[in-house]
Amino acid sequence: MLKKEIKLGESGAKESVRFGFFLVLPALVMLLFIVIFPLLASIYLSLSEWSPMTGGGTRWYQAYQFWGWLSNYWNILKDTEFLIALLRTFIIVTVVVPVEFFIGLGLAFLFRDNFPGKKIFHSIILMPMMIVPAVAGFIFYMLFQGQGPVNAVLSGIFFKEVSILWLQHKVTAIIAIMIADIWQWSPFMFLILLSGLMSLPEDQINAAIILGATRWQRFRMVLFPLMKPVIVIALIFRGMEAVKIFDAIWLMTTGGPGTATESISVYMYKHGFKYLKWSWVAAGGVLILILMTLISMQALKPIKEQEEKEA
Amino acid sequence: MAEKEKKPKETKRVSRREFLGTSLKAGAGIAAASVASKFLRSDKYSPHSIFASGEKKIEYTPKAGLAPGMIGGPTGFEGAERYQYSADEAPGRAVDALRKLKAEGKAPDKLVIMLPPGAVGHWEKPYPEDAPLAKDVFFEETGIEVVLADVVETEQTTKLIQDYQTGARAYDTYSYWSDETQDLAAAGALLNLDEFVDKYKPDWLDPVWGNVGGDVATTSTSKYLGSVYNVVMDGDYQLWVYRKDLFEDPKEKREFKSRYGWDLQWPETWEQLDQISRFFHRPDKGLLGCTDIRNQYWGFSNWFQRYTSFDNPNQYYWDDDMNPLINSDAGIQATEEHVKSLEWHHKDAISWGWPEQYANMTAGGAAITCAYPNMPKFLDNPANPDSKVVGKLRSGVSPGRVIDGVLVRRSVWWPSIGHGVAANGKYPEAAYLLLQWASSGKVSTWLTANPAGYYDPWKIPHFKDPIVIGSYKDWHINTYVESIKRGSPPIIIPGVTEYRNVLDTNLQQALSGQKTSRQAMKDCADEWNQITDRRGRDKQIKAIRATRPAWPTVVDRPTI
Repeated sequence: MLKKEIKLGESGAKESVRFGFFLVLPALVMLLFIVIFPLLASIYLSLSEWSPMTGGGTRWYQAYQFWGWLSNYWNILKDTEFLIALLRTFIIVTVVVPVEFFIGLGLAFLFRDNFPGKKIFHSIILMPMMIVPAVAGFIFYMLFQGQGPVNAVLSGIFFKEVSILWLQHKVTAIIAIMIADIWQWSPFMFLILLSGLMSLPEDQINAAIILGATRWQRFRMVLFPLMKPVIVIALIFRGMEAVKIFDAIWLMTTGGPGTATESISVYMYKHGFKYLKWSWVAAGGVLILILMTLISMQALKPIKEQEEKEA
Repeated sequence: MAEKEKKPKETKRVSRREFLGTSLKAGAGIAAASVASKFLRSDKYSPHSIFASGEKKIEYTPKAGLAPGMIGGPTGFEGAERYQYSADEAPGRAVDALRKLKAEGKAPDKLVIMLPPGAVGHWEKPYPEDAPLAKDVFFEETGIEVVLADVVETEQTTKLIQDYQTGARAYDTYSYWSDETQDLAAAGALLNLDEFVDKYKPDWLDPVWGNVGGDVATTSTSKYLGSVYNVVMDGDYQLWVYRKDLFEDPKEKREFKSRYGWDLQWPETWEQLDQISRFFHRPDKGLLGCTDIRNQYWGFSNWFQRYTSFDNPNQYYWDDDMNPLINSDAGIQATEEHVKSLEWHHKDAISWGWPEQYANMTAGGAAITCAYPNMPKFLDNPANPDSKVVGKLRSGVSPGRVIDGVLVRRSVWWPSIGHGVAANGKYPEAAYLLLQWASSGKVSTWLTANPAGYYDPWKIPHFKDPIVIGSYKDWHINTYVESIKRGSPPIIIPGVTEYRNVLDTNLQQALSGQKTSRQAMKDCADEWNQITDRRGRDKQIKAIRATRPAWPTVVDRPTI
């Protein structure tokens, strides 16, 4: 009797699983088309040497006629333009993300306490993030013109005519792009860090205050350890977004002068949509995907370790 | 009606039963109407339309306003006869053939043509004011509606390749830069038009109605491996414009002669141009020496002019075996000149595009510039309240070089809107006939004269038409025609986009000081070789040899 009840229970669980499966089936099918199919198509194309311009009229699904195995991967890894674009992107990310982090953190601490006009300033600070990136790029393109407002302000500060050709020199162009990115995305860091800060348990902070901890000690020994998961998530999110930097570069320099400000996204766009080298770009995309997955896994390690410790 | 619209909408709850009932009635009504329309004659067509006497019968009654012997063309405005055609002329043949195809059910009710936004006005705006719309004239004569699908210039190639690759068949004709014809033909996206050209005989090579530059210009802009794939619809030649008031100023003339030892006038050589540019470069007084552009994507057109004039009759980009010729004294010097000329440009020259250049010249901010042929149309125009150079502009043929006593001057055409028939289009013959009609001497003159669009003249009759001359200025016409005759092609072999972008990138690197001119040309030549090998050297050799007839042969005797 008991056995029978158990059996019934098992079949009920099976039914429940089946029912659950049917419930998620539409989502799975959607996922298949949205994620899996394009990914498989990209991998398939990346293994060929086909492009719409050299395929002699063949379609993308006939790319097997131009099968090249790993030749695209091999060639793209030898392409200095690709490697430099990748390196340049990581330089941009390693500069802008920490700067955005510290600006965001500073502002978050500032906004933790109440002060007059807090709500208005809060909205003002978030405003850059709400501007369409292409528009922001155009604004900075105008600001950094040789006879633009940035040089005018610098001239006012230094009491002599400053005429830096920001967008025409490889170093200043990158700096201008970084400034645009920092201006637009520091609010994102601020938003995440502020919400993390506001959700911290007050009792631990109050205990530290009662025990006579200084502000720095409170930050270093209480707030920072508690904030760590939020900080890691903020850095990963922003880092992953920053790797995709495109709009500001495209609007301000289109990757120039020459290729001096070409990020990996700009490189991919040019090769995909301008040169129409689809299999080449597919290989590049797969490589970037692998690279980003490895970096993200590495970045998420501290959180996983902490979770394991807590468990 | 307006009052009615202003009334606040009444809100009424509709029951499910009422909703379903109404929907069924509406559905039945639509179905009945669509079936009935197949049997009922539409009143939409005017009495002279081919539908006037029934869909299947081809009894055409010439419409009112046509000159004797003419079967079609615009009517209803002064001078309309100039654009009307007989059945023996190219546009007449196209219309006749379309009527036959339509009667046989081989032509559609609609043809979808891709075109850049700046060209839509040619079809959708009347010019002169009381003239009919071009697309209406075509519809009236053939019963085929022209659907204009505008795609921004820089996205055209991507869109058409997507259309071809996905089999969407959304367009009957594509539009693109003409220099990409060979790439697109090799990719299979464009239809080979030879059969239709033989059958319907367009007037592209006609000595009266054809293209300026005849076979050379047509080959340059429209052929791939000797076959026609492109129908050119635009005359984008880079033309030089200068400030006449400055060039004729006695004080300036005196000072110039004392400094350089020759009379100030429009130059014949690059060296002379550079001297004049340097002479007039006074940025502190708001005057730049020369503003032919140097930015990414567009600026290299001015390098082409300096480079291709390095040999008699032409300095090619590759030899007959696809070995790059740019990594040579000619390529290096042309690049050095290109870079050095920044001295008399605006300090933001590398990022200056057409808007900055046109705005600067509108304000009289430069002594010399090089732009599209339409610059005088916009700037030497009393109706332009912003222009400070009305009556002060003149133009000259591109400078060149004296090679063994012969003056080689090479303008360059670039990029020029082209139209091709979609290779997988549903009605290729009808699509071709539409292009033959639109590109014919008479119709294209009418289209080009229309200032609502940016097609620039390129055919012999364009330069004789009073409306076009009035618009483009009589003093500019001769420069324009002579420049076309000396117009060298840009890169026009398969792989053009890749080759061009490599050149552009290297020139930009030279301009921004990242590379020396020598290094830029070496790197460019190396990358060109890689592209050639990847695409198949033998194929590319065949293609480069087929482009040789596209190069001009006109040379001059130096006079300065």
